[in-house]
Amino acid sequence: MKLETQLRAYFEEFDATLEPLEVEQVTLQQVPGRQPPTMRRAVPGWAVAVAAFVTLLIAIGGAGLLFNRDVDETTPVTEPTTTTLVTTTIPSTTAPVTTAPPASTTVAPEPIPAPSVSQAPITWRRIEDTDATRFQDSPIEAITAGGPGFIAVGTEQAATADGGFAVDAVVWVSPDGETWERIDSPVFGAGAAELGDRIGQLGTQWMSEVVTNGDRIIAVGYEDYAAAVWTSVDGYTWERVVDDDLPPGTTDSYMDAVATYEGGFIAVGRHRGDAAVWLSPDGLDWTEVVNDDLRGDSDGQVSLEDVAAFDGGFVAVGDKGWANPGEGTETYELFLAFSQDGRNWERVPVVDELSGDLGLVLPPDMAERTMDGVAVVATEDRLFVSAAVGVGDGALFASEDGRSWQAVPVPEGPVQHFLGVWGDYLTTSLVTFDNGPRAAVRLTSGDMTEWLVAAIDEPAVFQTLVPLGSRLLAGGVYLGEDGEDFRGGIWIGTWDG
Amino acid sequence: MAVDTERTASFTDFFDEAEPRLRRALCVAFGRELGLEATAEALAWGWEHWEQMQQIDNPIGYLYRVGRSSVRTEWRRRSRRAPLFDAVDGERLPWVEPGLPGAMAALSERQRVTVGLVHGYGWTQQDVADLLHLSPGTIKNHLDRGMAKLRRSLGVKP
Repeated sequence: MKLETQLRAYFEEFDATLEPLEVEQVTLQQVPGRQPPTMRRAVPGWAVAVAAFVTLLIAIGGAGLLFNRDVDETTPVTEPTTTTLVTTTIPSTTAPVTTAPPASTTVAPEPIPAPSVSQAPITWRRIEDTDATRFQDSPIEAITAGGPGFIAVGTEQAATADGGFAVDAVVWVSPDGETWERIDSPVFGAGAAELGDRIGQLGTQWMSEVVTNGDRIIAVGYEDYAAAVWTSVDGYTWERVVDDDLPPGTTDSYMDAVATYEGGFIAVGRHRGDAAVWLSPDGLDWTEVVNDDLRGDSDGQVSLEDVAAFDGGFVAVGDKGWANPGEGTETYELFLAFSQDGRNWERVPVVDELSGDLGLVLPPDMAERTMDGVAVVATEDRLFVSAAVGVGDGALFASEDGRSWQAVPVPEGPVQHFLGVWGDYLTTSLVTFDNGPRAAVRLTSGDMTEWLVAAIDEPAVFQTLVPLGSRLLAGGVYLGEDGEDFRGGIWIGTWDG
Repeated sequence: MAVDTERTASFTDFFDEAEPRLRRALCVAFGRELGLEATAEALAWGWEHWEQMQQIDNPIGYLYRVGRSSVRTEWRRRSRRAPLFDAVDGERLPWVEPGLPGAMAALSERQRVTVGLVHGYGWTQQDVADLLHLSPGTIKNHLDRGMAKLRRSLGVKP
């Protein structure tokens, strides 16, 4: 039988399985096709960020930017959404300005003026990709101070001979944030085959975060659909941790984030349909916490994306999702859990039914949209949770004790992805639309009514932000010169005096 | 109200033409699950930006790229792990090579889309060129190379 005939026959069968969309599903915004929560896989941070970034680009007509390779393309005429910038006096110092401690988290019930936004005098410079760095197609997931100076982790994407893509863990080290070296290790990628059938398999790893307690560096992620921990004492030599509670092989679990505390390490993620927490005193012996409040309900599943330790315990954040029977849609809501000891957890309700406080209720137009990224960070006196929702929306919440939360007014505009602390500033990474879609950092301090924004000059997404003395170190992905592929990148932001 | 009705009516006309083409093209490109998701995302974007869309010369081609970019990340993450196409139903299609779905999945995206739409769905090469914003000559190259690769993979003679 001719190949052409086989193709026609096969695709006739295939076509019969493709259920047509109804126009009402589109015009009424009941977009089907997304997986129901029961099928939902872990979406690592960079993928979330890139997906949100791509979506944002699309929303502002930037799809042509992504795929504008052919000269005969027609560019859409979509006007971008812009963030209104207010001219303010640029600080004259060469370092972040020290301000008074932030005000109380209590938010008055009266309407709060919209925060102002002004330009931050920060200049960004991307580290050149060389034979030593080999950032290439490897998004930078996280950076932390440690090892010889800084450790960055990410996930390499490599085309495979069969036309697919493999994903493997990648680590870089730097003594100063300026000079980076990619580390090859037998536990990353195909080189680890001799370690066992389930470790180091090409194309099965994802490394999402790295921390250090000073003695040991811990990176977490997953390998072969099983939560995985890698460890190093110097950043150059790495081992894969294998433990009874971290068995290699497909366990339908992953770790998305890890943090240190005085008792060791705490990691969060998902195990089957439940939120998952693991504790370790030393980074080598891990115990998975079993707790009813971390379980997904019968109608949905829960995953945790970030965790922070603070004086009062721990806060873990993620989302809970469930399918809406008969509608072809799913709903996600913010999931937040608090624990004093890391073992006993209580879910902080999204809606405080007793007090009626705003709590963690998302704005109405966000309530039934996918949570695209949730993060938590602890400052000296407060905790902050950011929730990025759908296209261009985000919410920020603050708490002093991890149990009682209040919404913090944020400037209109782009979505907030990740949180960090830089001096007295709370930092959020986002995509801004001033002069085209670009990665940016937004900073605020004090009473959080004034925000600064500093964008880079290229389409990109920041995945991680860490202090580099008086400068900022950012990692993420940017759109390569071919206009099609995202590439890993590290940027240094300098506060111009 | 009249404006809304007119807007809906004009979009519906466009939807009727665009939906089947986008659905088939994106499902050939990314498989059924992601392809349907991409189709929905693309058309939802088109509805949201309908006024701008009406000024575009090739809106279906543009929405194809919108859909493609909307699932691109997920595609790259998934592509190694799940079969792109269903296995051949040996009882219904005994003359079709069992390796055909896998061989199609192993083509480059543009080769797969070109081969699938031209030989699987009967599109003209110009149709595919319009969709992908490529020249007809480029489409012919993708088609020739894709078919040659399929034949090598399946051991099928021209």
